[in-house]
Amino acid sequence: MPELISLSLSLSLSLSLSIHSMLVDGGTTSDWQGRWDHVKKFLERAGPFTHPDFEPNTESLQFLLDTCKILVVGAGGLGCELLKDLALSGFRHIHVVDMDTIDVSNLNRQFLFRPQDVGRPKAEVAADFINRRVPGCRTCSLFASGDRLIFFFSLNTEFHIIVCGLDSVIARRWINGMLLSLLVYEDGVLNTSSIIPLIDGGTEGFKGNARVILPGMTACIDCTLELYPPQINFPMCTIASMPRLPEHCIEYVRILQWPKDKPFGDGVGLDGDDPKHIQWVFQRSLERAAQFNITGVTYRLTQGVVKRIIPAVASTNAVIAVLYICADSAYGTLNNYLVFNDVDGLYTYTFEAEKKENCSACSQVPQDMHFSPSATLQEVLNYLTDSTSLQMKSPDITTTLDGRNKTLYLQTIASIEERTRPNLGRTLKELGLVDGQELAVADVTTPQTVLFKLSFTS
Amino acid sequence: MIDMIEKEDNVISEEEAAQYDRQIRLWGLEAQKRLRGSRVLLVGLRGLGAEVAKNLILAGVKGLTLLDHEQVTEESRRAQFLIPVDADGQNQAQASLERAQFLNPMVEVKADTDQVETKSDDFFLQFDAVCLTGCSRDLMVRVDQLCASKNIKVFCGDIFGYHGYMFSDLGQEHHYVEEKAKVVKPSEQANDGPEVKKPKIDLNETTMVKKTASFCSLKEALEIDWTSDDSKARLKRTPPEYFLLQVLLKFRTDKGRNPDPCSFAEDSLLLLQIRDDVLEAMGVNPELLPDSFVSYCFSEMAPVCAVVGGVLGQEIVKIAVLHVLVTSYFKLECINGNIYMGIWHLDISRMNKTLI
Repeated sequence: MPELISLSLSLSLSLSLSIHSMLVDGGTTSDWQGRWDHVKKFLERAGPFTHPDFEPNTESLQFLLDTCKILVVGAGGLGCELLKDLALSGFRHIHVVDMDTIDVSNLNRQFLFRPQDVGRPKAEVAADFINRRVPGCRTCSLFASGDRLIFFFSLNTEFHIIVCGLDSVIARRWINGMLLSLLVYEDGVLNTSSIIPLIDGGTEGFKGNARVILPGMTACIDCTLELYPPQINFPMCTIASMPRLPEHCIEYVRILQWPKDKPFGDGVGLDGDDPKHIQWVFQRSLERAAQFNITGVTYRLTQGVVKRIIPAVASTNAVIAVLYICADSAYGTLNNYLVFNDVDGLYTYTFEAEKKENCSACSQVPQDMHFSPSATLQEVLNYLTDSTSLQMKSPDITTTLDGRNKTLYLQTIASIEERTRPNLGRTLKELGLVDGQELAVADVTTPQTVLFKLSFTS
Repeated sequence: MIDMIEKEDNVISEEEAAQYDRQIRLWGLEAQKRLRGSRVLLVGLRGLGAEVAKNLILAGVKGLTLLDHEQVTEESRRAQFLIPVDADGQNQAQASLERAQFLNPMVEVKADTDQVETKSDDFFLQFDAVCLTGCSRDLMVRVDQLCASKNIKVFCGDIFGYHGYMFSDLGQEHHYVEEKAKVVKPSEQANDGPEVKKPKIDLNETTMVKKTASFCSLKEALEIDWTSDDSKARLKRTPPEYFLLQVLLKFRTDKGRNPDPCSFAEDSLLLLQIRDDVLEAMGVNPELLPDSFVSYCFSEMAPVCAVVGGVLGQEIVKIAVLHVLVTSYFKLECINGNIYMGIWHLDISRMNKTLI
């Protein structure tokens, strides 16, 4: 027999201790003597991160089950698995939020939804399922995004834990910023009872990660922003003149040909969910591919490129969701970032992501910005969007001049954008900015304005 | 509309293509079609079984047979989300059937209420892959030996409280493909310096290489000789959970059931006794498995079922269908103050030497 490699690969994480306590079917009294001895050791002591509602005592188990309020953000692949695991583990006060409705392509992994549910809001259907299946569990749903979500948050800040199964980095940064804005500092010292732990993570194909964030104490989303791989954007020169891959052909049609040909009318944008649009892009992509002898353009690939589809499967979500649960507690002792990969065998690794000293989201310190006084405002704008540690989308910049608030550039309101656009071409000196000037920047990536301190270079 | 797919024989319907879209993008259309043709037997519908069933049904196998002779109890229902709340007393496979089928109407899901020990050899041979949960050691060894010789892939898994394991036996001759970067031979022109003569690896271009691997049987894995010199070294690298599994399987054989929370006191004592006996018989120090193991191995914890079920389900899909995986291992995931995900590969050649 051929030799097989003998190795053992192992990993220890520290476990949230109240996971033991959670694993009791709510309301039953079938605890046998000694079942929770090992747990009691821990529940009968306070720890450094103990939530103030948590009082070490012998009735802690039931107390935790009855009062712990969890918010699950996202009812998709991870969300469905999370809800199932949380409910079966004994959590009884669960809120779930999602702004999407169910699509047929969700059905291969979002098992709380069935074909007849297509079109209905995910949060509602998920909550229905859980409430019917798990007695005593009360799951409330919210089909919302944007303003309604902000409103919801303002009414509901007594969650003990927030758990995210999101599909965008911007959304994660937003929640992260929201929790940071809830922190209370007394004389510069963080009041730990204002911390709401955030358990975040994500999956893609066979890969996934889970992490614990204690806002204000451990690394936040923005501290590790550079860990997110950049979006695959092919260089324009490749797309325009030197395509090699079928993806290049599709991107050519999407970016250049569609706006030119306007196949479905003036101002009609490319809708990835409209099969007619995809069919048009597919046909044009085939033509372009033929010109360059490129094979591999298929309808499926066209759709994938246009919609930026990420492959997904049920099992990875199942695994990562559980790792969330294990991290999920009054203590939050997964320390603090775990990656998982079962493409080839099984691989997992945990490390402690460090809080960034000058993190634009959580450090409370104005960010340094260095520009020459003859640099234009446009250069500042480019820095805000292009920097890997900031990655802003459409920042609005204001400052205080002569004691009055002055908008330097604002993109989010058309009339103000038009009025302030000339400022982009002006130099910082021309705009009246001085060395040490503080700029306040607002952006969709953060609920709070970020303060920058401008230092002039010679 | 979906041109590419229509060209293939053995057509995937539009409905299937839409539903399986996200995973087809992961492992390709060919693999999905193979999946669509495979029949799997799943024995045991407790927490782990339910998770594996969910993952296989969602993935889109042709048929899944749920085999379980036990009845639903409050305890067994705790970590199982397929069984409705009012099903106490019904057969476990039967009670799980409706929700399981509901997950994906395109899969043929069947419930079989017989006891697995009563099934003839022929019964197992009708499947492409067999997954055994909650089975006795003797049965697992028997089925493993029977199936491996007929190229039916065998998977075993169990959850004991916070501990979980899985084992896969892919047979004596498991064929698989591996993606290897293409090696570009240097050009014939001798103009450039000696560096050019070295074969280069082109990472952008890969070729699929066919390989064959051989796996140890469950019997061999469970009957490792721990007293030889080689084994001392292996012992250091072996997770204690391997011995825990031996103890729990012995308990199951002796008592005909798993440790039961309702008889915690007497079962704990018995477990400690078995631990002493089994480890001593294997020539291993009983201290390898400290007494505390007893409080962590009762019942099935939902999250542990989900993780092991997730990985086990995915392994069945990958190995039985996609022919891309290669290793056989004990995956032991134990939660006892630490979350511990271990992979342990068995070294056959060394084992052979020690037997001589």
